[in-house]
Amino acid sequence: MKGVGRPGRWRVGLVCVGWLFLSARPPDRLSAQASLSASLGARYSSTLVHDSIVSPFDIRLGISPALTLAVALPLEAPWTADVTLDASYGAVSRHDQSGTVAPITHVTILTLGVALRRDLRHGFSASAGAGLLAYLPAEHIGIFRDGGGPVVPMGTAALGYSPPLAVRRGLALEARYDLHGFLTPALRTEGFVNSTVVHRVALAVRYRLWKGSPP
Amino acid sequence: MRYLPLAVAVAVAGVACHEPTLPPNHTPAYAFDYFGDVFHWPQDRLSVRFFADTRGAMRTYVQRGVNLWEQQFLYGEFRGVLVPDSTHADVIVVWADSVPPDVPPDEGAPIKACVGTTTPEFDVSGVALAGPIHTSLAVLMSSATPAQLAACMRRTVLHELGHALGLFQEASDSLLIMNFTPWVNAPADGDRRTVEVLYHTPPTIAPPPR
Ligand SMILES: [Zn+2]
Repeated sequence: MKGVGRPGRWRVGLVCVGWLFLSARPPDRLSAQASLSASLGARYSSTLVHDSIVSPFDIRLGISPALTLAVALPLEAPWTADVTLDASYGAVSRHDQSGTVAPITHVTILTLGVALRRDLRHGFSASAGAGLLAYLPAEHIGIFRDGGGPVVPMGTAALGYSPPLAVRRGLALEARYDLHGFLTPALRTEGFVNSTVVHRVALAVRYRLWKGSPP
Repeated sequence: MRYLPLAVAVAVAGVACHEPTLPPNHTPAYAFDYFGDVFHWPQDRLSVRFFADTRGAMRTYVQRGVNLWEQQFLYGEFRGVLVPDSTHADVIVVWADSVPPDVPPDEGAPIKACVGTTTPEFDVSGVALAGPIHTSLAVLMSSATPAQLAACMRRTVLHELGHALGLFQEASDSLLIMNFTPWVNAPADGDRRTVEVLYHTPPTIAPPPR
């Protein structure tokens, strides 16, 4: 893949998200109240870097805890706009073919996103959105020697499920997916040109912390 | 609104397929073996413990050297730490004779005012180190200014630490820190590529027992 190919793909993702927002008409009145929720879960991340020095190896982020705070702003039913702040923290390691795992450092990944959510039947909901993502390494070492790199755009999609009994308690199960490009300044110095597209999947339990009173 | 699932699928599929990134050049700039055998500190011996002579500026030079070598690695291959006790060290760096004055190093043209020696000692099997790696630094040209001597010591410690990491050969390029006589102040791209390859090559020489 040439470097010029990737911006095109990002455009595809962002155009779709833009279309989604345009298709949800602005509300003439609020159909529900704004609410604040938090979710806690576990997140899997695909390979950050694949390289080969004598033999191939991968740099991966282990399964890491993920914490999300979301403000839901009601639009015209059944639509909701979610503004989310998400943090996950995990160990970055090298995984050799021989099975050796070499720790590099720990990293916090922060994202700020906006998504459009639609309530579906039977307690399900689906959302899609976009946002910004940043890697904040615990130490400036290895692939993070010169920092975590710039803030990058990301695309996100989620599926939620709230069983009838859980609705009243504000509980829901969530599966969230997002993707972004990963390339640090140290990797660029090493000779990497293209970002690795990193896919992340999180499973979480969401709990409503606060709900605004009716107008 | 009913197109939401389709739009999500298109948005996700549009960015999901990608070609892998191309690996960069990892060709070493010089050989690092010791008569065909290879040594580097294995993963289970990190962090490598360095003891630096407590006199003069040796601790400063060794700490700088460890930091600079650590920075050459991207993937967690090497870590080093200074320890206060030589009996618990993997690498011992001392002054061979006189202790040069601790002054800011001269940043001008380099002068070969000092010499370093690094000696790996093998056990009877010949395929394992018997004890810590010993490095010593000596004054070669007493007519050099203290600042010129400090600059020579600083870059020679860095060069000798390269040997202690397992770079057992000299480079022929004068722009590399592992040149027979080090003229530069930091590892260069060729040093970085070489030490990277060394640390991904299966070693045939075992580290000393702890
Ligand atoms: Zn040498």
